[in-house]
Amino acid sequence: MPWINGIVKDMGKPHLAYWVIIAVLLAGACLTFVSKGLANDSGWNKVKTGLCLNTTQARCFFLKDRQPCNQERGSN
Amino acid sequence: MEKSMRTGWIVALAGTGINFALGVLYAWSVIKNGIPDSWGWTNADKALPYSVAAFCFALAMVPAGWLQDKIGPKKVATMGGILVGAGCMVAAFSGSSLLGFVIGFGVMAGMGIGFGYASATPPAVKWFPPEKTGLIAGIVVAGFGLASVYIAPLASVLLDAFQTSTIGASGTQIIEKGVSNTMLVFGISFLIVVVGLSQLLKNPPAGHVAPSTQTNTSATALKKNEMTWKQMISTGQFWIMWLMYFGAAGAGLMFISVAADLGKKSMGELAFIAVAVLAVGNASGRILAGSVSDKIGRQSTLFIVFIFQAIVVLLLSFAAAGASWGALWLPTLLLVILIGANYGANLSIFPALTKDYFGLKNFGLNYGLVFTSWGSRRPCHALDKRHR
Repeated sequence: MPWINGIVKDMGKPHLAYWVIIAVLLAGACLTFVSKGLANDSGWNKVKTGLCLNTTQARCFFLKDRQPCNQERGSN
Repeated sequence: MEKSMRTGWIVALAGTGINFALGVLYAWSVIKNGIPDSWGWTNADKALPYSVAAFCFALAMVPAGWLQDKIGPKKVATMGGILVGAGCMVAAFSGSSLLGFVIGFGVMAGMGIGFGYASATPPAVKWFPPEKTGLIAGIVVAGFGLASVYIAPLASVLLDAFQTSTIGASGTQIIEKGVSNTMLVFGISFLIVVVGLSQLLKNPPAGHVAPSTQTNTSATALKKNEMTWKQMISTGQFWIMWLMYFGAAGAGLMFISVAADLGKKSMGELAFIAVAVLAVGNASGRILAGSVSDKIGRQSTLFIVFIFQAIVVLLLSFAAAGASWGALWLPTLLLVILIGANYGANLSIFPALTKDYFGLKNFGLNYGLVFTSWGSRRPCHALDKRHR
């Protein structure tokens, strides 16, 4: 990431580098929420499994309450 | 139980001591300034041994972590100590050879630092219950953050103590700093210290259960997972962590160099105080964030660290743009300590997070892979230097 500073300096707008870094840090802060969602039950794997094996259940994962959906998938 | 905790603290403090010595990496910023003109090194040459060392450090974390899981921390840390010591000695006996310094300090010492660093945290956290993982990881890695407080002044003293004075062809006096002897002293000292402290590192006996004071904290609430590295990299969790670490460590390291410049601007001759304050902030950020993450959860702590760091960068942008307070020492020192603390926080939260998510069994290798995000900013940094 430090290269951003160099590139932005070449563009003649050194101040912009700070805003780019701030944007990266705020994106990192947002990622902590995604990370939190994956913490206990490896939900990411459930999404992947759903997408690969059963798109209906994947849709169910996103749109409905996750618990019954997960239970249904467990019976597959 | 009390004996077990005492052993745990001995292991943790030995790990802190090892990391404190491995901070020899930071000595290069002083040593490179002592390289005599007669050696004919360019500025890029002077930066090369450090860049190679930092790269090899991050790279070595993966095999060192794997070895640590297989043969235990004592042997791997001992290998690290031998590599660091021998590497500094190779550089010391290389004369003015850039290749000698790159192989000695860059490759050998860099890899040795990786071997030592990878072996210090895992055994320490294994002795303690999950609600102390962040605190213990923070205490162990704080040694590395604090190292620049003593290593840079020590290098400076040694360079002066070993400096030589000769009369040149034109009759002028030529003073050369004692780079080779300084490297030799570092090599012998860190070989003894790291190898010695490594003997105190040991894993708890099989089946050891650390006495827990809490039944269900945010740190203990996670389901027990013992993942292999293949299982780990197939999870989205790993890649999100990798990206977060890459962003946070990259931003932190970038602004650490800005902080040093800011210190010079506002404090002049006393800029070394800014460097010391940065190191103290770095070390205390590791302990504080680790401890807080045990109480309120890793993600919540990470969220606070990211937001805090963004605010600090915003303030830095005002200072860089010429805000009047940017030339005052107190606001500068506050900014510097916050930059150090935010950066340091990542180095205790991410190992704790790795343990929480992917377990302790393969923690060494797993954290080595997570740590590659820290090392990946090296090529970016080199690119940045070319742009400057």
